[in-house]
Amino acid sequence: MNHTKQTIQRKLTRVILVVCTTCILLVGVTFGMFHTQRMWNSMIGQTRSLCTMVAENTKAALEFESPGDARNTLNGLAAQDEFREAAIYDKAGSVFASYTRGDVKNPQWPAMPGDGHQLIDSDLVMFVPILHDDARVGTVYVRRESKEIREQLMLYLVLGTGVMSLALALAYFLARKLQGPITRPILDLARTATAIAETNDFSTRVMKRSDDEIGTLFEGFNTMLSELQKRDCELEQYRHELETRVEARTNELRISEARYRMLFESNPLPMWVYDLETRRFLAVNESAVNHYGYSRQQFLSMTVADARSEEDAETHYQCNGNAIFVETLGHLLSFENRPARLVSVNDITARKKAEAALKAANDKLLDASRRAGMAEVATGVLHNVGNVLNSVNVAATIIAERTQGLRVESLARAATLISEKGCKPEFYNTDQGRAVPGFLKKLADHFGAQRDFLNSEIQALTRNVEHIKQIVAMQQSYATTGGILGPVDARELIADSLKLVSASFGRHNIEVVHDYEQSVTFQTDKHRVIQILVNLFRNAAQAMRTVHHEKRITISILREDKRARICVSDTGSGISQEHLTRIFNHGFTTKPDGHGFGLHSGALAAKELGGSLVAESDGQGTGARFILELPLKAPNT
Amino acid sequence: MLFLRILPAFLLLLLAAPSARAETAEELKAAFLVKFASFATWPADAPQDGKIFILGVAGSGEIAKDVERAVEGAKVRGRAVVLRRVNSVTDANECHLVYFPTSMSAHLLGAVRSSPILTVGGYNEFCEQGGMIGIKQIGTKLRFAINKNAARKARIELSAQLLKLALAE
Repeated sequence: MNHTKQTIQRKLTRVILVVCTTCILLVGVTFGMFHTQRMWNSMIGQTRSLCTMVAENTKAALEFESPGDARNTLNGLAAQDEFREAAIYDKAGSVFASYTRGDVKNPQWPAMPGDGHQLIDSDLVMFVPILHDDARVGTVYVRRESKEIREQLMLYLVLGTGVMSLALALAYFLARKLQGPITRPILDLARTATAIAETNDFSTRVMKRSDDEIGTLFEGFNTMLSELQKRDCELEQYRHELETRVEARTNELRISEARYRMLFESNPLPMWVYDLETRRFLAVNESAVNHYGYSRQQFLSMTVADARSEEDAETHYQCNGNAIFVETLGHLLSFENRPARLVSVNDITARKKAEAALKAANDKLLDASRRAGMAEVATGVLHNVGNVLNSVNVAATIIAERTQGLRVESLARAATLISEKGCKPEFYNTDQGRAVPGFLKKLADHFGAQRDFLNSEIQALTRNVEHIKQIVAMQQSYATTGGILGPVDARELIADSLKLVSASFGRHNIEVVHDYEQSVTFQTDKHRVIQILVNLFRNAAQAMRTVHHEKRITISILREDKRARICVSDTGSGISQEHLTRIFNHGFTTKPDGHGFGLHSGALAAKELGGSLVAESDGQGTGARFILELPLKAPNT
Repeated sequence: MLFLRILPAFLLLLLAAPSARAETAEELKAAFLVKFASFATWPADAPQDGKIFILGVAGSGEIAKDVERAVEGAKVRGRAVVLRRVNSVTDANECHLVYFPTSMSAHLLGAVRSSPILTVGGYNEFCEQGGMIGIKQIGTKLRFAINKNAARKARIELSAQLLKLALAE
């Protein structure tokens, strides 16, 4: 407070004193310099006129070579004791007459006098020519000390210093006295401002005393204060509001954090957070501790790699060394300002086991279905074999009948007749004898005809037996050589499949239409496809059993991009909409004696071969359409 | 320092050299004539020729020759000095200065007394006879005396310095 007061007053005083000093110094120095110059000029002028007078007065003395007279003239200079020495030089430059002040010993005269004046050791040295009748007759030389000027300057200096000190003292006094009206209000203002700063009491006001700039300053200060007071009030209000809000928000945040912490801590899934750089666990939840068997401290001293299999990231180890299969979900986050990853672990060991069990069951089922498929094929085979056996039976019966019908007794009678009477030549002249060759001929014809017939029957029989052999061989080949991939002609496939069901088709008068011009060759497991197709044909035949109109199966082959499509459509009873959705389900059947494997295993087989099997139908009584789609190139399984 | 001590003697030697070449007393006196003229002022009504200064020598031809030798090439206030023999008053009236080497021409002195002619005499009694400046030999030195009244009568103004240098009457 006191310091502030002193400072502003001192500042003003200092400014005033500096200004005063500068002005006085400037004036003094200027005046001093000017005066010194004038004194010099005056001294030079005076000396020159004195010299000129001496020159005038020594002309005659020089002309008439009267040094005494010249000396007398020079002695006149003694009136001024500043003249240290003086001399008259003659035309030749030698000293004609001289004068020295009493105290000067051993004067030294300049040897070569030149005109003009100069300053030597603060003495004025002057040479003035003595002219007479337009001719130079000699030179006046004087050396004058500048004692007076020096004294004058000293006097001025002393006087100036005195005046300046006096002036500064006066200025200081006046400045202290007169700055009051300026500094006092400012000091008051400063004091008030300090008080306000200390007490924060914005209700304080300053008293305006004048209408000048300071008055304006006071008004401004007051306005500012009221504005500040208003702002302060508002600020206080805002602050209060803000505090309340912050408190509320903090509470919310706390609750929210607790909730989230609970989400983490009480999560049924094991969860943890680990540092992305050091891979060290930063936090683990209760579930992780329980599930893995490590204590929380153990966890926090481990890295992620410690809990995980090196080869398989989805295999983790529990504390007791048990391996568990897991699915993890990760999320990057910043944990305590470090890049980290939140991981949620789902133990899928049980699921994996269940899956394995399911797979085994499925495999078993598939095997069963395959066996069932094979049974169907076998049924077809047996059926065919039965049919052929029927023909074989018929042929055998015919052969037996014909063999019984052979006229063997006629031949025997003829033979007996010939053996009894043939030894007598006259026998051949009897009617009976004459009839023997004709009879034999007839007999031969009869046997020939029977032999031919029997031959043909036997051939048919052989053919049928061969057919059975073929059917059996085919069945054997299906039963034994499964799972081999090879190039297959679709047309051959269909032909082979049809062969297996042809007996059934023939019995039910089913017409087969081949709606294709070109075949497609593709790589697949021939026997599985044949199973599928046989199944489809049998289903179609089954569906058309109760139908009274035309029974027809249309088979088409299409090649589409990299897939082959075999479409089997029938004119059977069709499939209802509700059945259409379940038709490939395992165990679904409409047959009273069905087991529901057929289409299911067919669809499964198609899928395994990289293709698909779909059913289409416009509804009951409109027939059905099965589309088997297979890749041209089998997938690598 | 040695040089400074020698210098005056050397200068004296230099000054002594011409006189040693036998400058006669008459020649020295003749040299004074031009100097006197330079310290004198003639009245405004005096016959003036702006270009020449006529110096008359009264009497003997021998001395006139010495004077001629002494003033050769000399100038008085920018005017060339012309030498003239003065044997009569008429001759004297054409001159600015008339030198009387001896008292033999003293009769002319009386006739030109009131004319603006500076009269200089080369003998001791010249001033007593009414001449203005009389050159006197005192010892080895030449001095001169001035008759102020004669100069004032002829309205010739002589410089105060000249008066100061003159021997007391």
